[in-house]
Amino acid sequence: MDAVLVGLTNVFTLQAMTVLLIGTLAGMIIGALPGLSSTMGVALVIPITFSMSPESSLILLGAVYVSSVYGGSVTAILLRTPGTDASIATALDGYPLAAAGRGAEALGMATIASLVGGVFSVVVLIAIAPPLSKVALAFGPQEYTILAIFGMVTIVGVVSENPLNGIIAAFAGLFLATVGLDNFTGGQRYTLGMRELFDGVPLLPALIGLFSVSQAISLSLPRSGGILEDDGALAAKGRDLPAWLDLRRCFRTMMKSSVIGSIVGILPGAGTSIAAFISYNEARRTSKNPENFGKGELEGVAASESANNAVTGGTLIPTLTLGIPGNAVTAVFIGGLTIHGMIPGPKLFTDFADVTYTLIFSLFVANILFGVIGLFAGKYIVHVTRVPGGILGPMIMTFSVIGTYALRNNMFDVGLALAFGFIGFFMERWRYPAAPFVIALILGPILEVNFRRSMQISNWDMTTFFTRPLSLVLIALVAAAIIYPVMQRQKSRA
Amino acid sequence: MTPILRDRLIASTLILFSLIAIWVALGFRGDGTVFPVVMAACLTAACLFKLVAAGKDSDAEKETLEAIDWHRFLIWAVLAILFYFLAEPLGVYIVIPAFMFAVLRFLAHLKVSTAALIAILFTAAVFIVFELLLEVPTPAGLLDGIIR
Repeated sequence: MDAVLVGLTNVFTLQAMTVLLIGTLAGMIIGALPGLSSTMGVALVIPITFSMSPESSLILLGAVYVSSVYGGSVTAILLRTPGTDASIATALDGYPLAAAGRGAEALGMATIASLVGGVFSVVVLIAIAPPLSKVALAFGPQEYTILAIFGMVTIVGVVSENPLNGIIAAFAGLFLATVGLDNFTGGQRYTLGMRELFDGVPLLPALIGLFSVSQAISLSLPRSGGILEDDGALAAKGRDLPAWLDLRRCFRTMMKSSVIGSIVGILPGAGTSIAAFISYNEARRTSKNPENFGKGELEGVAASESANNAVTGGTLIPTLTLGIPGNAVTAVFIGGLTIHGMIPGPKLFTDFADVTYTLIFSLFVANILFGVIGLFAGKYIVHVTRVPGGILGPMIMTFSVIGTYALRNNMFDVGLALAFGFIGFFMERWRYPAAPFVIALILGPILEVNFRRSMQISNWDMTTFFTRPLSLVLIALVAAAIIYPVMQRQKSRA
Repeated sequence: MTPILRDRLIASTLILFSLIAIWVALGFRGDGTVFPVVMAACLTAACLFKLVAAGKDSDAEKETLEAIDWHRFLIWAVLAILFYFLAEPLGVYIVIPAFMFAVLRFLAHLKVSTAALIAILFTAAVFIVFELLLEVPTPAGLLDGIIR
């Protein structure tokens, strides 16, 4: 209880509120800029947190995360160009509304729905994470081994449109995770004698390279410079807020979508865009006016936006309690936690409880903040899209280089970030998803260490995984995670 | 290069890489061999499957991704590599404006004056944020005596 109160107090200091405000504004702008993802936003902010206290760092990362998901809706509605993939479903009804002169109203609905979804997910996070962390304390190496496998199986199946490419990316990540000194024998593995690799492939340079440097390259290359065209809808015309009647009509949809978003968020791999589309389809299925969907229906905007923002809190549940990142953003989040000496997992709620609760309460305030800013100034954020990608690219590259150097004060990390930047650029172009690769890089050591511990305890008896109740439950989850997508695929073929 | 040929080349390269990795891993101490060998073997198996499946992948045939402008990519890559090698000896506050100017001039095709102005203003902003406000250590190079 003390930790909860400390967390609450930490959020309402002048310093924390300033950091929250900066993070929220930065996140909204990053989210609004097509080509800049939430993952890249969080990765780009991590270097800035090096000299901050753990509390301020997590407040900043959390604020950027939640507000960048909302920011994507602004350009989705006014320009039909979703700032992030989370807002693709929003554009389906948001843009027709904007084109019909109801852009501001659609933006207002998106803001309120995002706020409802975001706040709901924080409530779910507060309700589920602490008790789950207590359960996780009972996990032994066998459970962690199965849990890591579960994380890998789900992310590969869901993230990639081409599962085989996802599997190749995941195994490449798992293999790369073996680089460094062996935790058990102390022997060098694939280090090529480089001291910088003794602790393994450094995670943050890899993340910054894959998500920031690769985006810097992508933004700099098109001849058009990446400027979005203003086609008239930009001005966000019409009344500023949705009518009370419309809000009442959509409230049920918002709540239902928030539940869907939170559940989808908890599942590894299923991200914001999936939650948005599931909720959008559900809203259309149960709507009294399904024929209006796709032509400019406020309920469609409400469904998509409350769902994608509800994902944010959900994704943090497995990340904070089990140390298993559910998607690329939370993988980057883990990087942000580790530089402050906090290892994600159940101990976050015991050893670092005050900092963890500070993060959770800051997410709540960040949702309120982007709601207020969005309602009054959301339509002006769209103007940042006029900054050409050709100018943004080198700026992101510079931030990435300085941030990576600051991590350990060596140029090796910068070189690694550049190398991963090139790899990430080609992976994106050639349809090899980066998310399974990164998550494998994080889960690899967890998988190996716990597998070897299990084997040492059991004298290499594989039945050890089937003799513990918790382990059996997790095995059932893994089986379901493999069988369900296969069945779905066969069903869709038939 | 067609997408299918590209996928086959990637798969073949990764198979070669994995086989070398397995061979190296066999020399590791104790059970430290197991995980790298298993992972490299799984990677090999996935790539072998890709090699076979690549020809049947109708999605790959239909792939219409924007072609990479190799000329512009090469310019970017050369500038980024120069940034990397010169950042420490010259210092980032010399290399950043030079890199920014070059990218803005040669890739974004901005006017010399605009490119120079943006490069200088951005470098000043980076200096204020990282050096003065956040006190993040950066390679100062030739400017070491002036900055610190």
